Amino acid sequence: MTDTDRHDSPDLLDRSIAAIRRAQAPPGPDSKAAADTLAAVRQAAGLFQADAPNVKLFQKVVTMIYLHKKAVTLTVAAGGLAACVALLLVAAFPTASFAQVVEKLRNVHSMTCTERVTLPGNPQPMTVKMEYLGKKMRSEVGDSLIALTDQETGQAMVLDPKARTARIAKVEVTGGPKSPFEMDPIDEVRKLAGKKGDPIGQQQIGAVKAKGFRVTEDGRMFTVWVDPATELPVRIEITVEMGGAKMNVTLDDLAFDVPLDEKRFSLEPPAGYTVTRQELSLNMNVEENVVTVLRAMSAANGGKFPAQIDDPAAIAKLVRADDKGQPTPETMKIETASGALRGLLFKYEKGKTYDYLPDAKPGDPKAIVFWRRDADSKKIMGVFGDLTIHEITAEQVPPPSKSDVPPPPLPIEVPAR
Amino acid sequence: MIDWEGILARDGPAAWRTAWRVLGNRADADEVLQEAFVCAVEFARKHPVPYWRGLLQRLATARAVDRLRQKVRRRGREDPLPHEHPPARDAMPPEQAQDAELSAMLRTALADINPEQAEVFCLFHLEGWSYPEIAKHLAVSTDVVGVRLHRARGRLRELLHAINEVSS
Repeated sequence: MTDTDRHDSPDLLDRSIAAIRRAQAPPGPDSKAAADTLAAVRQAAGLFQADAPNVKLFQKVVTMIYLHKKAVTLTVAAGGLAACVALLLVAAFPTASFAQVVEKLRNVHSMTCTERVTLPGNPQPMTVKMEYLGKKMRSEVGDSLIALTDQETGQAMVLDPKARTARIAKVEVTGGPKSPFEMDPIDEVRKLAGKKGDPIGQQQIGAVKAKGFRVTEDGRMFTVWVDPATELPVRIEITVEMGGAKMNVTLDDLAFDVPLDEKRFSLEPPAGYTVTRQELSLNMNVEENVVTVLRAMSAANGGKFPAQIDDPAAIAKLVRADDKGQPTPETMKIETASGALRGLLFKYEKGKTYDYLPDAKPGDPKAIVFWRRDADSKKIMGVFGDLTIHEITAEQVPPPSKSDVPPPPLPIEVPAR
Repeated sequence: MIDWEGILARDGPAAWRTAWRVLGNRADADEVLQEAFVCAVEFARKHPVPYWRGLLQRLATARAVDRLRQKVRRRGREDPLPHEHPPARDAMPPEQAQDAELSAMLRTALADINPEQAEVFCLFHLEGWSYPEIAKHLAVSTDVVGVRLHRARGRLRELLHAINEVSS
């Protein structure tokens, strides 16, 4: 049946189908909608898409580098020498020669390793080559991304050798240390030294018959394989829970106190690169980030609180681009808050040490939409429906949210046509 | 390395028009296009995508049906959906008005049927996909496609007659 036939058909359904098909749809989205879509796509592809050539990637890398130390201990694109040293010490603790291992690692000045990250739902691991020299770090993702940080100056640079672009950031932090990459290895060691590791047997790794130990810390499981001869780790495996899914990280090719060229850590952009400079503001206050995210998401959601507060896809939909196709300042503020929030909440357990209650009535000054028990101070902070922040008592903590968020629909298989 | 800019330029308009046909207005089609592309990013992390346009049209259809349902629920069935109805090239003014009315009725009815059935209906009748194409994209058999389409048409007929009686 043709559209003309349908138009003349007595059947109301056929006539309605024909009416829609007869209408001449506009050719496509206007340039603004297309730019917004492209910005959202780049944002969604984000850190996991090494070729993403926009500010979001840069911002995300910087955010995650910082949060690495603060909350995740080891994360996707970068790491800190202090955190790695601390991690190694945790693992080495159960060995008889713990004191020697501690001493060796405390005096480490440089380190290199290969980090393989397997993200939830993505069987292809991302490989990052890491180098540490004093308080400087260099990480390379394939041949398409190089991230450099200096914890003393708080500066970072992301190079895209293919696009020949250099993005340089000075990161200002509120609610945290002066430098976003500031670390104290000794302090990290002190915090972790009391942890106990369980021996899990031996495994051949290259030429080494390594001893394995397992440590569970803040929902993260570390498996460390130590060379009995050198008393240094040869492999570290970390499993991190991410919103119910697991991220696996493996550190291989560990080498300590290797000679490294200082020039490789320079924050001077290479000649011929297009340079973009940016100042980023990272807020390390969890609740203030919650307010920023909720305000933006509820405004886009008809005034309702979103079903999830840590859904990157939902955040990506808020992305708006400027005339040059770059995310607007407001977009960047929301994204930074969202990224910081996801990182900061890594060490908290939903329903136990924090919770998000989307059923809270927006605007209600008595309804708690988010609460968190601070890991250090043990204070319980609450965000209310009117998006004010107050300290609350244990009695005020609401029961867990009843609204289970359904999993996203499974993507369909796409055959070739 | 995925050339998102190229995919958007090449296949974005088709996906946008798919959303527009279901929703009938530009603002909602813009939102759905963005959602479809963000979903496609997630999909591409897990699977190879040999045919982007098909994936994007399929995602745009699913998201558009979801959005249609949300809007109708929010507005109530008596309150008409906002829609633009550019006239067909050869349509006379009375036909244009009738087409606009019929389109709005069908969109309202689509929001009231099972979303899986609505998706199959849109892909078949509005996008012109074949049974095997729909079956492959939804990872179901052609029999299932046939059943969903048959049920969708039956239910839509009932709803359209009900809407028509109320409006007349």
